[in-house]
Amino acid sequence: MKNNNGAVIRRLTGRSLKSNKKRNFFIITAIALTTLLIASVFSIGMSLMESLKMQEIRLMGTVAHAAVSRPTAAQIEQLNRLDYVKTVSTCCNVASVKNTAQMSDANLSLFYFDKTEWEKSRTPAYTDITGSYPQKENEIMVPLWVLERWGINNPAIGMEIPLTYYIERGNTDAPVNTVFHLSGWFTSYMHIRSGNIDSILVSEKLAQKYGKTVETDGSATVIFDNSSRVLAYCEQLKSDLGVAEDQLVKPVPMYDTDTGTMRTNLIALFTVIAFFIFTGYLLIYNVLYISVSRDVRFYGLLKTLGTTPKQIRRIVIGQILRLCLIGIPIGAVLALLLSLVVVPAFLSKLASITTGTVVSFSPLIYLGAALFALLTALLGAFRPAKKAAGISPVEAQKFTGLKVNKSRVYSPAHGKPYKMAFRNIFRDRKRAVIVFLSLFLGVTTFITITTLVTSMDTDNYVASYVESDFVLQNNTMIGYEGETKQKFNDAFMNTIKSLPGFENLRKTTEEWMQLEYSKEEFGEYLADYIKKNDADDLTEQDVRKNFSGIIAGIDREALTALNKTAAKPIDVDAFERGEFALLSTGNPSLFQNVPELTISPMNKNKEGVFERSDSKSVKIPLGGFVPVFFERIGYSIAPTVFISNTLMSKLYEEPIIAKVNIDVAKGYDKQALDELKEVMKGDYEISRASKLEAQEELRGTKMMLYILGGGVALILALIGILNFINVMSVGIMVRKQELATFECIGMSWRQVRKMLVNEGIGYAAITLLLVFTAGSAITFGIFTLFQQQATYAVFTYPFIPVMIVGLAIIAICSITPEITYRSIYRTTIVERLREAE
Amino acid sequence: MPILLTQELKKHYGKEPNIVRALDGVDIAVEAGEFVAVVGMSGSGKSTLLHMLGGLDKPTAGKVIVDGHELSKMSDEQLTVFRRRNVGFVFQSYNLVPILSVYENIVLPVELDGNTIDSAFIDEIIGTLGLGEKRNNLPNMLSGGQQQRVAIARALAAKPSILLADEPTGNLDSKTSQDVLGTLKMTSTKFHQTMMMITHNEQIAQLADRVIHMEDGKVVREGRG
Repeated sequence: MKNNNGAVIRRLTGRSLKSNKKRNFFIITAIALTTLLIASVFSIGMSLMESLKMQEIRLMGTVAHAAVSRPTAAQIEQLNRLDYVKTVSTCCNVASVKNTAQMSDANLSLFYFDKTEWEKSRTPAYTDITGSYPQKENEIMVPLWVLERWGINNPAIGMEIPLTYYIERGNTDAPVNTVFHLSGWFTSYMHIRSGNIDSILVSEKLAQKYGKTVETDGSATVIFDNSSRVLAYCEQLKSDLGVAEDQLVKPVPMYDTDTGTMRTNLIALFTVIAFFIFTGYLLIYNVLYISVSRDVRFYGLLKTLGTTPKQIRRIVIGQILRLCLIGIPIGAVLALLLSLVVVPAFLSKLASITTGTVVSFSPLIYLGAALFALLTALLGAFRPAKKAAGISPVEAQKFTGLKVNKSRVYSPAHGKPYKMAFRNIFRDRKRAVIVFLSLFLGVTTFITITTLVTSMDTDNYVASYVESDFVLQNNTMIGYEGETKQKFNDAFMNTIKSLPGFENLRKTTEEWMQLEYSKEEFGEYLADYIKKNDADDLTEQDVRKNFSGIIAGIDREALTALNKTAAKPIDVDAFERGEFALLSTGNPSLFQNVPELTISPMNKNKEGVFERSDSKSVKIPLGGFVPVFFERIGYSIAPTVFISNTLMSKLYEEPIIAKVNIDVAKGYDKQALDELKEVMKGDYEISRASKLEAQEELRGTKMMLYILGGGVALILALIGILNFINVMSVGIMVRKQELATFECIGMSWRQVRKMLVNEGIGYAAITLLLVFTAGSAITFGIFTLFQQQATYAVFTYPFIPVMIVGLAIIAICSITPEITYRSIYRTTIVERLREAE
Repeated sequence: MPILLTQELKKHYGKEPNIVRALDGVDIAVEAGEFVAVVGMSGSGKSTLLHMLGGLDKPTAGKVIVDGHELSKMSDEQLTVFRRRNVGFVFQSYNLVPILSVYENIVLPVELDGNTIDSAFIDEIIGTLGLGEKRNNLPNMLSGGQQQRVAIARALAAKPSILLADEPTGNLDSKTSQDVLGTLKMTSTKFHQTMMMITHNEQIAQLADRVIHMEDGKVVREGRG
């Protein structure tokens, strides 16, 4: 039989809520803090993801997924028909701009984008777009960095800009001079990735004027319906379009590899959230459980009067849901405020974000946080609700709220306040364990985070990542798409030598070479290489033909540093004279049969392909080994060979300088840095690392991690403390009568207080004991894991923060019982004795 | 000189016109070694009288003199010390400390006073009350009668001169009630204590040397038990 009892259950739920204000405060706080924690993590995570995604798009210069080169009209029509292609647009290369001295290494083209291309694919990747897309034949739209190179720092619409450019591919024709009018400008980021390759945008009319069409000089760019299937779709396009052999279907580089880190990030994110849910759960569960225990008589009475267990569960769950209605919005609003201030500051401190940050305010963050907080609350309410529903009406009448687990004791307390306090702590073991766990997790998290942050040793970081005051790297080396350039030419070197406080420099040159392969000598090495690199399809024949790799020239200082720690020091003078070469390996025994190396230098021919120049081959004894990635140089099939720079100059006409290490006199680093910045300005083909910047960067990161991690840890600690305060204060309230009895039989106010304060201190002592033993082990374990990633970290125990937290815990634990006891002491013993009855 | 003496003792709660006169001019005198029962209906003021005598509550007017000391002149701290040396309480709901064993509950008042325990005396009490086997048990393992006997033992442990019992058998069945009362009377005689017991049961009151009847905060009748 169905009856309508919703109204009475709602009324009971509401009344029950009203009579438990203090408990409600604890639960609302727990829910709000849980929401805040989860929303913050979501907010940082999503903002970071979006920032990185936006950065990728900006660096690509387009949101398109792929391009089809020189498509025919029929192919474009076909593209429009394909259901997996969302957007099709076209662009074409009109001319290449003649380089001027001002523009130095910039590589600019005149490009025409159709309306869709401009609006759908390009504008999302640009910022600060001002003006409009060129319509007239003599209009151009220019990236801001190009304008700056031209010396135009305050561009104006309509201003005249003369340009010289070549129409023909390969710049074989006579250059054309035109005075253009600026129709607009924008910030583009593509040149950061491409090494100063970018486009100046022109009108359709100009393209038509020179007879440039999509079919001859352009491409169709497409956006697919699913960005995770770009590679598969590209393959499908090839067959669906029937592309000709000279046509390319090219994915935009950001889609040409799978991102496996995504899964790891998600796992990390959910671990953190699970941790937050757990701590929130501990508090909510404990508060509710205690509250239900106190209300046993009430629930027993309800049951006696005919309330079903299901209805009682509804009353308990209903209360928690109503509290969620208050707690979740509070937490969400706090998180929103945090997102406005802390998240952008945090993101901007991350060195990997260079093209601006996005703070995500996606409703998903708050929805997700609300859901998880609700889950936490319901998890916490589930067992107490079950308990309330399962209360027997008869037992409930006898219930006093005082639970003692044991039946006998063996060591007498002798009326000592501390002994009685200790027994009181463990009166309800489960409750005690939850309080300890809650406090322990909060404090340990705090100590762990503090340890990690303080262990980030700035000097060590700088020493392990930046060997010299400044390290300049040539970005056009191996792995670079464009042409390798001698960036550190004589002029540049002279500039460096005139830096303020200049002391010394050393250079590392890098070239391509081939080693003579024989199975006896390199067989073991090859087997090891194949195993380590999963190169099963590599045959010995291939290797015999092309046993090529990197050869690097180094100065003696690089070896001097290595010799300090090497078991077998290398004779630096002999090395310098070119008497032997070194191999880079982690396992020298692989080369025990290699007495000498036969090295053939390789140079790029006109087509850009490496060719061996056998005439210059040299035989050189193998004189020792250096670690893998020595001087941060990678490896190819052949092991990387290190020789002296002197010998390098004999093998290659002008060996490319890959890296320059510069040291300046003490106190000059700031000045030198400023000057270097000026020298390198706008040149994306050189990158710089400096001790000064590395230190600053780490300091910023450290501070941010401290604030962020410390904040999270403090909230967790707060949850633990709230748990303690609740247990302690409720514990004293339910013992009102017991404490009154103590007074009746002659325990003075001071003695009772001492006992209660001892009880609080007992909680603190046991918690801190756990923190210093198990907690320290956890901290150290996490530090060890952290150190594998951050080798510069030096274990530093944060004594001062730990002491502050320890003292705070002791203070809170001893003040809480005192305050609670004072609050009940306001009434007379007689009243307290009666009230309890 | 009576060991318990009240003069014009008044305890009023609230203000006119809703004033409650829990005690309204009570004069009683109890001699040392006497066993007095106070009888009255619920709300007659008997518990309030007991609380006044034990120094748990302060009178609105009048005096309480116990063993020559006027309680209203004592501070809270002094009262507490006075209580643990001179007064033993037995409550209806036993009020044992759940985390302490039977033995620890019994010796608690002595230990709170910082005195060494007179083991022979405690053993005698424990033996007399038949609690020998339960020494190390916690109260939750005992029956109601056993718990009340522990409460009596606790009240006797500090050798107080006065024993105040508030409905000591209120929560017990009649057989156990008889046992407990017998024990109370026996021990008070044995240890030369003055005992004042509150009850609403006339039959139980008959065990006392003297019965004081109360109504509406006043002593209405006194008589031999």
